[in-house]
Amino acid sequence: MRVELRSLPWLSLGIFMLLVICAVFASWIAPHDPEHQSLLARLTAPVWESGGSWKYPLGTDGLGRDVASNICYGLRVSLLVGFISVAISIVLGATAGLIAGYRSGGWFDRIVMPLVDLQLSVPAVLIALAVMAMTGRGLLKLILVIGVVGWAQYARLMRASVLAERERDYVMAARLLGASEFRVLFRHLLPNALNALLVQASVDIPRAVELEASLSFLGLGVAVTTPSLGLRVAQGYQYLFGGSWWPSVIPGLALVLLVLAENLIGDWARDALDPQYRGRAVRVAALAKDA
Amino acid sequence: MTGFLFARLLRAIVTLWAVLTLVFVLIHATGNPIAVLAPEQMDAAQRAALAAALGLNKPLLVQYGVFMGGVLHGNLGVSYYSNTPAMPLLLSRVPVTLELVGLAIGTAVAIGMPFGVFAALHPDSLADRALRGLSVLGASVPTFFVGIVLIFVFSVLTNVLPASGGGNIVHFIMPAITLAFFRIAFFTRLVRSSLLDSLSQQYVRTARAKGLSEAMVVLKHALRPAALPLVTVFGLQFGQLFAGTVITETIFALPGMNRMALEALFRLDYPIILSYVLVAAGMFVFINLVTDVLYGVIDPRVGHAR
Repeated sequence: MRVELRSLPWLSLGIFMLLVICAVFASWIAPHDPEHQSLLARLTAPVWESGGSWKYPLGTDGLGRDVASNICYGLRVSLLVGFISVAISIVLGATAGLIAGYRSGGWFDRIVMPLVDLQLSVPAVLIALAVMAMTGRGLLKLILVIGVVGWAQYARLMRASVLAERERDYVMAARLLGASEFRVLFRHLLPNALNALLVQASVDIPRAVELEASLSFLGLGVAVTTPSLGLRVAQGYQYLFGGSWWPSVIPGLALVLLVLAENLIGDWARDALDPQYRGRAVRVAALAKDA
Repeated sequence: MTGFLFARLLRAIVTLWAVLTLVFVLIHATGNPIAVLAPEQMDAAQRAALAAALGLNKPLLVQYGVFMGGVLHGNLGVSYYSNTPAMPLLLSRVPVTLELVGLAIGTAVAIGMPFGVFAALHPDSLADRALRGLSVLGASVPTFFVGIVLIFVFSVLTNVLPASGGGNIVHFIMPAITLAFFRIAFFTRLVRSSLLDSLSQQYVRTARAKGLSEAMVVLKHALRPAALPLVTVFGLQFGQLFAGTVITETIFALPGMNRMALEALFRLDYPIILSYVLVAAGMFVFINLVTDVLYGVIDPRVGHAR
């Protein structure tokens, strides 16, 4: 596929890469240890406000932790959650959809598809919330929960694609050539659905990032010692009323920037990868599906 | 129509049963409420007595039977924490949540609808492109951050609106806007694209050819079929909206059912959690049913022959 350089969303890509660099090289870029508390310097204002200094460019929070450093490490958590959990969703969903579609009407299909409908009718947030509340906090668990909760859409996409493709001549040809079931499924039927899966992933990655932040904000996400942007917003919230806005607002802005960049890149990818989404008429269907 | 309704009702009941069973299994597979409830100095005998008093020592199948029997009578036991019947306690919090949801939907439709109509009538104008940009932004700001920014601006900086508490309508202004924020953008986009779609249809051309005024064409002939995806998405969105109320109620300390359920989750107060699941799932199922019926009312072409 040829991509025109001019059509790339350069600004979003630039911002996204900047945030990724901050996250990957957090241990070099961050000016302080994100967990280090200097109680003497607590609630130091950002450098451009009165009382701020370059020692803490974006100020410190109520425990004297450097806000800038926490953002770098927090972005790391956000990106980890976004990409790994969506990868888990894709693997689970695509495998289930592949089998369900190949043997549509079989016992696997008849068990899996109602489960997909059930999963899609209950918001992921509520399921994730309940599971996290009952099993306790933790980054790894959170990634797993967000990943598992997101499988349904991929199963549905994959199944639809397999149903459309499996009677085509090239699949028949592959089978006649003696290809194993496994080979037909993964070498011939899976690649055809890749674009649709990627488009869905571009929608789900920012959504997973937001879900992590929201759960951590509620105290049901990562452990209190993990530097997560959502958790930092929650911890900085109480100082808002004393006029110290930076411990909560600045991490929140970083989160918005990340999600915004991901959404804009996703919008572009949707137009570029999936001709189905092009044009206005079909967009409605896309919107309805997203919800 | 009656057959259709009956089939849907049956499906709704089966769904409710499945959800309740799932939650029951999940609860009993993950935590032991006695470990949370019992003070540390309690010895084994006292713990056993507590478990017996709460019916937690019986075999799982018996507990399940008692639970399902309770569901049928609307009796889900006594809250472990406040020692009052769980269901009435939770139901007393429902009006606050419904008020919040209603206000949020009203706000989103009242702002999103005219915006969307305007954007569809002036496609690719500056305003249209600005609205599109805003809608991506709206989709990118997490609900909790919208709330925090609103509190900072309207409570801390200017002190015009209260940041927390419930009861007065003033307490609902910021929560409703917080919850509506993403939906405003969403409804704008949705109305725009579905109206654009229906404006290019034959019947709109016919209406124009009849010599109807443009306002009449848009409002009477184009907007009505355009409302169809709106209703569908509204049904789908309800779940998301509902999930958003958990966060909104927490930030603004509104005494709604979601905040109560969240507190109950932290305390493993099962009767409250189960009551919440029953009420929330019931709302979901009800909304889905209403959406399906509305579908046929708005667009008679759809019918209920499925």
